[in-house]
Amino acid sequence: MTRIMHYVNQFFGGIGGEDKAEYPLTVTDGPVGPGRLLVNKLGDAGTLVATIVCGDNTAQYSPDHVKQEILGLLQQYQADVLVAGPAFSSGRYGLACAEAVEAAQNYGIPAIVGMHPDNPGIDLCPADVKLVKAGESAVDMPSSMDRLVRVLLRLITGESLSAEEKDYCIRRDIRSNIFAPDNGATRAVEMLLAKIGGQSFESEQLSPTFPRIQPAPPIEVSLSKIALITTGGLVPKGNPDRLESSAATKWMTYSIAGRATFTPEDFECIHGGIDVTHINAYPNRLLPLDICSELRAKGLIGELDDEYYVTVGNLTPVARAEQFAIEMTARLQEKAVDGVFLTSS
Amino acid sequence: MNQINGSRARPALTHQLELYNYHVRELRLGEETSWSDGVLTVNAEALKKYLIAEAGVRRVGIAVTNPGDSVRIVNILDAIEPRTKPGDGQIFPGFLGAMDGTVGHGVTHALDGSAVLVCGSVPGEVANQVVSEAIVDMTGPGARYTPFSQTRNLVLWCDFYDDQSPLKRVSVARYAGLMAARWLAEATLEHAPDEIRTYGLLDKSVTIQNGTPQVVYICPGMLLSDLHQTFLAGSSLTSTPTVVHPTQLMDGILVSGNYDIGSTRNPTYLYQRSPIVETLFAYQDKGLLSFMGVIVTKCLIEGSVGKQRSAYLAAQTAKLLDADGVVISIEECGHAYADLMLTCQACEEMGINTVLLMAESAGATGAKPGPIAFAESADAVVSVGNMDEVISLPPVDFIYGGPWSCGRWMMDNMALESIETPLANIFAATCQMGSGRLKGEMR
Repeated sequence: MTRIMHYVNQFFGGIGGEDKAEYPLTVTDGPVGPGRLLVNKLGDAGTLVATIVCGDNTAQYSPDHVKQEILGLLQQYQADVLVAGPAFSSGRYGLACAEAVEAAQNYGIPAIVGMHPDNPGIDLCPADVKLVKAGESAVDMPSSMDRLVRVLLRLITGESLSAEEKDYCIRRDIRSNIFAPDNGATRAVEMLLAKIGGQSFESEQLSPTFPRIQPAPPIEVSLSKIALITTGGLVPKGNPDRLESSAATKWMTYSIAGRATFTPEDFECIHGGIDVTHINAYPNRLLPLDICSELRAKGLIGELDDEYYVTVGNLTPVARAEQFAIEMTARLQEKAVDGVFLTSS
Repeated sequence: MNQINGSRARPALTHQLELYNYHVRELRLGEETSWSDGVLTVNAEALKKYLIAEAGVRRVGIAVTNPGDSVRIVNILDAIEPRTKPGDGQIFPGFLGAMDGTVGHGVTHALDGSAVLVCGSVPGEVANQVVSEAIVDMTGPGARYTPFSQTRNLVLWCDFYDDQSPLKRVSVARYAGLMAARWLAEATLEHAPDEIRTYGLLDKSVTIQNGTPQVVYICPGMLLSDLHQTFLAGSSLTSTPTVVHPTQLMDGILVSGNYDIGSTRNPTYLYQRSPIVETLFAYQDKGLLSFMGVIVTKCLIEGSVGKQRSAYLAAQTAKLLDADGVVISIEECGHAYADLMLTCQACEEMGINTVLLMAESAGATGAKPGPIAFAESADAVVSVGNMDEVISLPPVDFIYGGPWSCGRWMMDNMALESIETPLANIFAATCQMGSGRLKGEMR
């Protein structure tokens, strides 16, 4: 019988909520939490041999270690397939599920994961992993699990998906490399002559579609609490938290309480995609604490948040950037911030 | 001698360059530097002496490698095709010669099918920028991604003085590469070429009469910092577009000084033998188009005002050259694509048909979203491949370019073992001047 392993986070593993997000990776024989529902729906088609439970922060902060451990467990339990989630629209859980299915995929074990179509974790899942639509939250667990299991059954039997089941899956644009008969220069000139001649031609790259962001309504700045955010990698001198200069895995906050300006003695820019000379000479060029302090003193800004928020946008996957944004927003709301100055590199 | 262009009558060309091609079948080391029947023999000791005396390198290692050899070349800074000009002709103006009327004019000797690969370990940072890895495998699965597995290569690996800064080191290596390239080509000066190719633009009156589409090539080069840049006749590129005659590229008016991401660099070799210039000339010869000129400009321009300024100046220059269509290449990635897209938009607004060449950075799985900028009018884009694809390079017998000290990326992957690498580390694998056949497509 097909041996199934299930990956869930600390919340669905029954350990606890946000305060338990550092929970280390553990394994339990048999189903846990949503795994019981999975077993019910699965019937005799397979057996759920074990459940991996891991805190979302643990998965985010030490991805290589977590993937290594998952790989070891898949071998130990001689698993035939890995099921992850459903993660619904929880971003960090989605990213963790992406790690889990990647570990399985790398070991040659097929994997299947449930996520809401807007979950940023989708972009980090390997191309061949089956992605099944889940609802927005655990309220949708029954129907989400139902779809997940229907696709899982096809995966187990090797049968192809019905039209309805295909619709359960999230479609993604996956790019791959091939060798064309002609070099790029020849293809470009051929394409140009066709375009000038009004003949049909096929562009080899199409515009990606990004969601349009609705701006929030305007605020009266003199009555508002304003925070400073940058994706330009401005950190205290020496980069104490080792924020990455590209492909950042985290965002940080640093205190600016009692500070009217960023001095080159105390701050530096560690962004890896730009010439940082002028920023390092005068860091306010990247994030204008000097001007904001002046405006605050004049009463044109109501209040400044006592810390600034920073990450690095250089080559950082959109999925992770979206997750940072969700987390930063929660923090800003907690601190009753009304508006932000957001500067890029 | 096979004078291929002499066979049929063709209109007069302006600023004509005769390229004397000497087809290199084999490169070998020997007692005396000489050219004989497709074999280039190199006296390595004499070349070393010359480069130590003239280029400022501390030591230099020299090896030759031919296609199919079990060799991996690492720490590559640039590739240059050996070329020289007889008499008063100037080659690599601004570096080895003066900028004058001979550049892109008269006769140029080229050791076709060979390249000088300049290697060097340059640790340290310049304004947070570092020298990145670039690898060529002469055999195996990695070889098909790079044009330099097909050339007979003279590998120069440079060692530097301890007190030479990173900027000084890349400068010294650049001179060493250009000097070696000219020095090698001088071996052909007394010999008849295997082939003469004549290049030039059609006379204006002919262009107007024949009614074929008039095409301009816009060629942006990278300039991000003092460490990663491009030279036009010896000076750093500016964001003010400059028109050059395509044959001037053949004489080395553009020299690479970009040591960032290996796969999206525009090596000097591919300016000299620009795939787009060669294709446009070939199509002009077939009577399919008229080649109107090359616009050289800069990419990775600071700030949106500067980007827009440069984009519209380039488009306006193309318009003044009577372009019906332009091909735009690019170097590097990231916000270079904002420059590319703005230039496309400006050209299309002026009624010029535009085709772009772009690499993809779609992630190892191919699932990452597309570039940061994409103009609505960019409806004709060539993909030169996903630079994030991971390939596996099996062990080889020899590694060239590493002995003095290892490069940044190779440090953890040294020895002759198999390595996993994204295409980004393979030299010119996704060069956006269109040298390769690699192409990204929807799975």
